[in-house]
Amino acid sequence: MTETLFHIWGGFELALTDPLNLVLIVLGTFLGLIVGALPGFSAPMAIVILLPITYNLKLAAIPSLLLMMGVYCGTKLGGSYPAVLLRTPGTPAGACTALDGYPMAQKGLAGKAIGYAIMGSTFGGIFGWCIAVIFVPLLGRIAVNSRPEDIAIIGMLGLVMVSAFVRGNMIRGLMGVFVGLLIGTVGMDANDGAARFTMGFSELTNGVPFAAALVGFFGMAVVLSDIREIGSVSEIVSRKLSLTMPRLGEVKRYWKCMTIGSIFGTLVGAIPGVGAEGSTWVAYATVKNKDRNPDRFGEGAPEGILTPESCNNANCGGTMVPMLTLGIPGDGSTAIMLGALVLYGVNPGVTLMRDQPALVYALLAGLLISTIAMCFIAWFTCPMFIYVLRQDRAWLFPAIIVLAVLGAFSCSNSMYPVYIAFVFGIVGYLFELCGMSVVPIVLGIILGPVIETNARLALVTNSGDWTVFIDAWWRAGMLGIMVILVASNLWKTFKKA
Amino acid sequence: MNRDSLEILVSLALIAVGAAAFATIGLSEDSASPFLLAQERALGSLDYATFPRVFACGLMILSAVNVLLLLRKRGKRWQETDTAPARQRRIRLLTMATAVLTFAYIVALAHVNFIVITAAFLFVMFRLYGLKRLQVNAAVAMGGAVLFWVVFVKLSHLAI
Repeated sequence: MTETLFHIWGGFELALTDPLNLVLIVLGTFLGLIVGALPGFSAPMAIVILLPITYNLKLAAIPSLLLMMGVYCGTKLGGSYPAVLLRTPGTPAGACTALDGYPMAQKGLAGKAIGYAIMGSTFGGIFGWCIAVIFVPLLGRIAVNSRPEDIAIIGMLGLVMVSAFVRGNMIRGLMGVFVGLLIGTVGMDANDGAARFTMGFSELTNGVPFAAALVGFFGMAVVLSDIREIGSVSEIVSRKLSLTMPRLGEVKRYWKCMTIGSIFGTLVGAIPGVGAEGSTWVAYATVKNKDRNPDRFGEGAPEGILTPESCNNANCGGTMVPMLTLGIPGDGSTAIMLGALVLYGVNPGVTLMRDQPALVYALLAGLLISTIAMCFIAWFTCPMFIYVLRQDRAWLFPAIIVLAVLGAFSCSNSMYPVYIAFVFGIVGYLFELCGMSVVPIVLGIILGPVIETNARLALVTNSGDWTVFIDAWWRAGMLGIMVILVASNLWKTFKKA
Repeated sequence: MNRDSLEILVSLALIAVGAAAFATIGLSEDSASPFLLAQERALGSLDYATFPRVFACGLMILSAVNVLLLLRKRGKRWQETDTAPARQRRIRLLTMATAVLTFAYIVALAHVNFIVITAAFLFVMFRLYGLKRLQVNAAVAMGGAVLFWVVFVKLSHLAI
């Protein structure tokens, strides 16, 4: 307990004492708010563009990840601005906020609706942080004693869970996973020196440049998929906005709905691949059904804004638990953050807590600082978003393509990763066009080498005995969960067809 | 082409990728260290080819199942949602043009000055996306290119 508190203190010290870290968190949060406010833009896209830039600027892992953490946190609230003012959510997770936010804005209370969104997001963010701070050290301590066979099975479980809960059916999710796993095998095998799928290109000996793959899947592919947004300038319900922050009494009055939203957000965030989108609707429905007068919902009820917004931001804390302890990302943004760790030479996974405790606690500190900064930045920059929301995406998409090209180029100061990013951009676009998510592909690329290395190591240390994967109850349990998830999802898919 | 047909094509392409991966992984043996390979096999571990073969098989099986499922429910046309056919055509055209211009930009970057080619790319893209004010487009394109050059080439020392 004392050790954990000491580490938490150390994390804050690291994040707050270096002015650069603090500036980057605040800057990231501000950027996140803007990105979240622009429909069609997403946190993964912003983070993936920042990743090669920060890497090329020779920023260390901690400041770079703190910047990304700020973006991740900020986008969650940013999505509520267009949801309230345009009834077009900036992020999928913000869609639920539009149900009550927009009617409230139509009544001339746009400032109050945004105020509720800020209050809910801040409450949820702090709640999620508390859960993360409690569970990350607990789970981390258990995870650190894991054996190679445990790590391989945890990685497989992560992939199965992502495929099970990702958009579309599980078959599509697993197809994406296998594509990612195959991409992850490209390059020289560390054990026997075989050059796998390099096709004679010496550049591929070190594998597919991960940052280029990310830029392709989350930068170029998203621009190509979102071209439909071009030219659609939405009508803003209120051109003048005076923010009205809720009073303290209202926090007391609405604490129940915010707590319900936060619980759903944190729990769902901790399940890999689910994301915040689904949880906001479930939390909203729960609060609505529990209300004495459910007809108020959809007409501008404050609870209808507070619940999804608290859920949204609590999700950030939830996703940190599997990401920092098991190396399993909860969504696209955390997948890229894990990729950033790989790029910085840090091994994400069960050993992260043991090897890099300073990094883990600095990230947790960054999450709380970003949540608080988000509250103040959103408060003071509110009118600016009216201007941002009125801009046509046509100005931004070409700039994003140039940034993506520069980002991919910076991987190795050569054009080769740019071509790789372009190819993955087209592949990602085709996947998106078919309704398949690219998140499982990225997860396959990250977790594939982890699974392979550890499974092979487990067999070597156990003289090729395969029962090593089921000889402990937790391993058998995890395999059982995988079998049940795959079987039930496939059964559902076949039944539907 | 409706969405199901496209998904069938993508799935068939993935089957081909899986088959190619399965067939070619054995060729990597030439580059492997015979000593390490023999040692690994003696220890009962899996060699360099096992996982790629499993992944390739998985991809082929799942893609084939996906094709079968799609063929079973074929006939349900691609839902054009809220987009009118004319707009849909325009979106597809814009997407293709964006991909082609991006590729051309990437190829040209290796041969033409960064500021010149980036400004030209931005300007053409603005025009393509229907931004009509020529002078504003040109100014933003030039300003953007210079800004990118300052941040990435001057400050970040990218050798582009």
